[in-house]
Amino acid sequence: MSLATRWSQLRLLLAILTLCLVLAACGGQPDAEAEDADAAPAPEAAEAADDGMAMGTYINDPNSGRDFNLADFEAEYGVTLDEFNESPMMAEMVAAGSLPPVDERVPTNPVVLIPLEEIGTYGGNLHWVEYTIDYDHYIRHLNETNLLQLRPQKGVARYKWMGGEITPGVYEAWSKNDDSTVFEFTLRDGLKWSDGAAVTTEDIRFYIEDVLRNEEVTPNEPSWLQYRGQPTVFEVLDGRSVRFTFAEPNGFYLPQMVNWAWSSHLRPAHYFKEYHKDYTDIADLMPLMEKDEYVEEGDWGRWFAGIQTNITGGSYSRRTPDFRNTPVLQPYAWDSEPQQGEFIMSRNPYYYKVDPAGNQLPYIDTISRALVTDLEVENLKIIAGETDIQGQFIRLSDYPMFSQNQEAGNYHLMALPAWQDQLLIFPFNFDPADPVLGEIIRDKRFRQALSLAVDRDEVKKSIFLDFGVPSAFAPVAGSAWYKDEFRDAYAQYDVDAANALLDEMGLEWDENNEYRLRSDGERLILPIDYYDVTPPATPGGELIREFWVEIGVDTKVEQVNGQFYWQKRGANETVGTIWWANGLSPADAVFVSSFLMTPSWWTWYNAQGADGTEPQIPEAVELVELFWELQTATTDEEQVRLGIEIFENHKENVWNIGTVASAPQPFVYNQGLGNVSVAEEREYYHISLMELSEQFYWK
Amino acid sequence: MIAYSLQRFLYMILLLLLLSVTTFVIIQLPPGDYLTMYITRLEASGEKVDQSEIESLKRQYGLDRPMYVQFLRWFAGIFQGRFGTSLQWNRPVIEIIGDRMALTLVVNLASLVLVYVLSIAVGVYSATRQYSVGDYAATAVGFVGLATPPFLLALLVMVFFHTQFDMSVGGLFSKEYAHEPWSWGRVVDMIKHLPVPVIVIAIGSTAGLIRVMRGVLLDELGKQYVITARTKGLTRRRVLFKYPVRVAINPMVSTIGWVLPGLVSGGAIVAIVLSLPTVGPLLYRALLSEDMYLAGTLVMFLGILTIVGTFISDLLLMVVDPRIRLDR
Amino acid sequence: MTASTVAQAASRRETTAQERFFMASQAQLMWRKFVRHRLAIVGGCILLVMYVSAMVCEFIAPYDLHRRNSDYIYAPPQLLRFMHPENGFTLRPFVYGYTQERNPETFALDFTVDREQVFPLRFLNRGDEVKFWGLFTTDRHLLGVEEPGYVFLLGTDKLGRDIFSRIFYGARISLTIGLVGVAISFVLGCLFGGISGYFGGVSDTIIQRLVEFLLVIPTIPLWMALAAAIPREMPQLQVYFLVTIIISLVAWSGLARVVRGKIISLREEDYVLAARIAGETDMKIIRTHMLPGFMSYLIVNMTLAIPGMVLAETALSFLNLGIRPPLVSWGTLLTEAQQVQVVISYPWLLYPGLVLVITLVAFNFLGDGLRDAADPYK
Repeated sequence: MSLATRWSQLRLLLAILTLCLVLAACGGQPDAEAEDADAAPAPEAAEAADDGMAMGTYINDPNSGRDFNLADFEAEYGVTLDEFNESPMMAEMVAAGSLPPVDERVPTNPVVLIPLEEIGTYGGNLHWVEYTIDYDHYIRHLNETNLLQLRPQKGVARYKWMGGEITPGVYEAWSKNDDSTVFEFTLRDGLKWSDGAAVTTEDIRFYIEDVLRNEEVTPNEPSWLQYRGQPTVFEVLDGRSVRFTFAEPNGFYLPQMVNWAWSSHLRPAHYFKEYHKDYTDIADLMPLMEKDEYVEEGDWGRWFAGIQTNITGGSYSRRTPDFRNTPVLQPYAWDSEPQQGEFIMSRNPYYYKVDPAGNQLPYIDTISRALVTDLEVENLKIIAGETDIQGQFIRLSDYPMFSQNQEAGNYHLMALPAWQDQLLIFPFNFDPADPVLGEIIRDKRFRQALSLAVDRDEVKKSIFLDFGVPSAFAPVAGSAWYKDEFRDAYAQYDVDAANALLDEMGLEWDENNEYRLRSDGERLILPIDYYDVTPPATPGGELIREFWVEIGVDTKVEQVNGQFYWQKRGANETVGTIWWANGLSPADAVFVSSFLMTPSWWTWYNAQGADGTEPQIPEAVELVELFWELQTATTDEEQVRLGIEIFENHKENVWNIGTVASAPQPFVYNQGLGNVSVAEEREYYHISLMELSEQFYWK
Repeated sequence: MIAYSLQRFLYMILLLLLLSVTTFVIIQLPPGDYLTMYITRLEASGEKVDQSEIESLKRQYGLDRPMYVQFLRWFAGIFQGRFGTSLQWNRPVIEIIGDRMALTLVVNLASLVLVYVLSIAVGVYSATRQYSVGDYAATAVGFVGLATPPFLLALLVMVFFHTQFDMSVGGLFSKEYAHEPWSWGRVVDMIKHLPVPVIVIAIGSTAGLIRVMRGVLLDELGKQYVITARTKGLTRRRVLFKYPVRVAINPMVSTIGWVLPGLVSGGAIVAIVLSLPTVGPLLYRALLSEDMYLAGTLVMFLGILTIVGTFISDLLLMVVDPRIRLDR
Repeated sequence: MTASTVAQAASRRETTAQERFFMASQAQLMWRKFVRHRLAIVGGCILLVMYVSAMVCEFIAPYDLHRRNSDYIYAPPQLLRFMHPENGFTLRPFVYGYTQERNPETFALDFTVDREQVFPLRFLNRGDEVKFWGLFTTDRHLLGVEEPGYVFLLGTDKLGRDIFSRIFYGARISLTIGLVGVAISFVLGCLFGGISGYFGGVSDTIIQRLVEFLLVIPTIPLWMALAAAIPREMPQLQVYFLVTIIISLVAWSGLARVVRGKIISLREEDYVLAARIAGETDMKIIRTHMLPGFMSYLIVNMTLAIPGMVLAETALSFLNLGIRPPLVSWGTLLTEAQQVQVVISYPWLLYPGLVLVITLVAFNFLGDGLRDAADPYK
């Protein structure tokens, strides 16, 4: 073949290639049409506002978003609520005789929830997408009922309880003594499980005595039944009241409980007794156990643990299928699993909340989740408008994309504060396997230098789209412990000062002037292992390496997987890591997080000094003692005073390297969804907003 | 031939035993276990896990038992039809795999048919019209297909279909049909979702097979017997399909060994990107979270399919190609 | 000149051409056939350019691998321009600078071309100080612009790093992984395939079962298991080699089968039998009589295996099992680009993919040409 024809063929080939691409681009046309019909799910039953559903607006009500006991609501608003309304979906079932009327289902003392914006209308489905089944992150918040609730307000929410207002939940009343040792709780009057059975103190007793204190089912008691190593005394006072007595003051028990779902105190005893060896003959249980592949009688404990523990925390996908319809107290109960990993839940007919007009909540009849394989498909579903609500585990860095596709995707976008005060911090292991490195890390000048070498403005620009406030590891503005000096301590970018500190420590440069040398002449290497605990971990790690190499610290950042990280940490093989700061309140154990990453100190701290290594630095011991003192503090003033002392300690010692505080989290919701949007101006945390799902409605 | 088959069969059994042990070892190789993984996920979302909860989870999953006991229980269970309970899904493994099997087969079978039809057709075309425009086009497209990382191609195609045609992408159903029972509308909906994954999965292997087909066919076409047949007056078409094409298909028959497991786990990476409810992503996720019984059963299952597939393709080759039969 | 002399000259030329053909050695013949394969030549040239630039990437890349610029995050590619607004056409190409502004609505950094800022390209520009081959430092780069100007020919990534520079640094790893990986599989494949094919019997059975066993384990679990076995404290260079070994472990078994098949068929040839009768040692028979028989075939096979290896590296990176930052390969660059947002808003992050496809197609062209050239019947 001649050269000329070869060349012409090559040209042809290129032309064909282009043609193919063009054809491919046009080829898909027929698929395009059918999708156009896709719009927001039609809000069904919009006419439900017939009787009693007066259109009221509560957007300017100071109580908006708050839970009241019925009597308190009536006193506050000067009205009487004696008639209740229900969703058409329920009304049909009542008419068919399969459900008692709504007045009999709503408790004697319901909770009245003041909506965020207005009284809603019944019907519709709320749909979202997730990419992991290991843990149902969304359902945990969207379908949540707590023992006690916390009123969402700016700067104070579930994870930032300090100063927040505790409101009733499953317990209608609660009290504690001045010492914070004795706590009494009263169950809601007339409260019923989702199958209609009454909730009584037997449900609490059964759970504590027959499950948590049954060694066959639960090998270790939870720490609140074992406070400071001494058993907590539990008493049933009457059909609705219980008492817990702690051996030592437990000043944070109440605020912590706000964090707890109902399932941490109760189980539907009438339901589970049928499967409990103490109440039902084991021989009758064997066929059921065999179905779940437990073939020996001795496996009963394992089996029972399985059917009852995975009721907690809303982890629905992982529930043993036969026990998914266990009675619950949440707004939505199990319905079906149309496809693996996807589920539908429908309204709990006995849910205990109503709106100010007496409409039983929730407004939306069903909720459903679809499963995708990764975050990128989730993102595509969001911009295509194939989801109604997305708030967790989507990335701030994708905000521009979400924003640009709002119109096409038929959704709105908000930037709500993230519940993590800081999404990117760098903690250390103060007692690593390498003694020389340990010596260096324990020197506070080293940590001060590392902190000074971080250009927080660049972090802010590169990772947080210019959001947030450059900050040391310190409380955020608005907190009771906040002080400017905490925020600014060693948080100014100053390479010279950092170098001066390291020079002062005697860390010489090597001959190439590239890295610093340790006292034993080795190069100063700082290994950082991390896993994807926080979205900015990877870019953050890449940046921090650049910052610290600048001052001669050879930082080796490596992403490992989660299990591997914890195993390494357990073997004391980690040095630095990347983490987030969880609501910087001194009440939080993570707050002494310098120790979480130092296994020997952490053991010592957990064993109250009986085990592990006592921190080699006196300031660290001081910090732990302050924290212990704080836990038993019983008054607000005491807690604030001790908290500030704790932060004074942090300020000089720079236990962790903080970066940027108060970065937001994108929150996506369908344009048709009501009682949502005001959350942005009120600066609710995205999690707090999701917990108000029972008052969302389709406009 | 019977002796040979028997010998192969015995090897198969041995291989399976070896595979089951290796499977378990592979899954245990990465440090940690499902629970540590689970706990890290919890920690990442801001929950603190009480030591008590960890202990009871450990008991529940039997992770407090020594590793060899876990293996033996699993292995013994297999013979009684119990493949264990998935730690992630908390359901019997066999149920989980069963749920995904139908859709997996649909997707992979469709891509397989596409691969074979395209590669044979285009291969024959390219070989008979060597150096023609079509041949060059096929070669070029084939090479580009061979050279593009499948995960990148999948993402590009997905975004392209979304932005250009506003198509619902990711998964096999649109929002309206995802939670509906099977109906005509749902089948149509699924068929509309099929082209993207099927094309992306098929593209890599098609390109490869076209090259093989074309190469072998070209060799055959130049051989004496073809010329003889032509000179004796047989039509071009008749000669082509009577002999050379049949010979050229041989290498394809020998790939059947990989076709069977491919039907189940084919295009795993593509399926991850496209979010298909198939076995591939299930296996990947099970391996990542060290869901040992699920991963173990799947690897075993795929291994068996490969072994059986190789066995079948050896037998088939004997049937198709008499030369091999005579060799033995 | 008459018609006959023309014909004579033509026939003389033909004779010499024929003579040369008959006199030519095997290698010369192959070379001649190869040169006629235009696409293969094009492929070879592309590869030559790629490999050379990967070798001297510190010099070619305008910026250091780690050079970042927080004011230019996700900056789009700058066009090389020759038409100056005032001076008209210039031979020295230049780029315009950007003004950037945070969009209050989308929070994206919006870039607009600023015609006031002109950065002419300079040859052998002084820029970032880089360590060349770890031997000596230099701050000279092939092309660049004077600071504080900037040139991002293919845009920047999430930390404001120059994609153009990173592609060259990534090429160094991606391109060599193919070669090293093929070399490893070649050695393993020839060794095991050779033993298996030549000696047969027990060794054949054992090796064949081993190969079968490796093929039976699905790829993803095998990769994950092997990747998990890499110690974390390893220096980067060793991690690189281990990743290569992982890739070739999956590939060598195929090659071993091919080698075995070839050897078995060659073993029966008369000239091998003759050599054996003449009392030559096994090693010598393999080396001098059998190896040349399928060497060309092997080389072709290897060339065609390289793209597979490079792709395998990207797949490993995608599964988070391969090369890790701060090392950069095309696989890690593509994994960073594996986002919907990138495809929609920052498509220039996909340039590494384009370079990858071009390179691999070039490999395939080259392999095709080699195959045709090595085939004595064509």
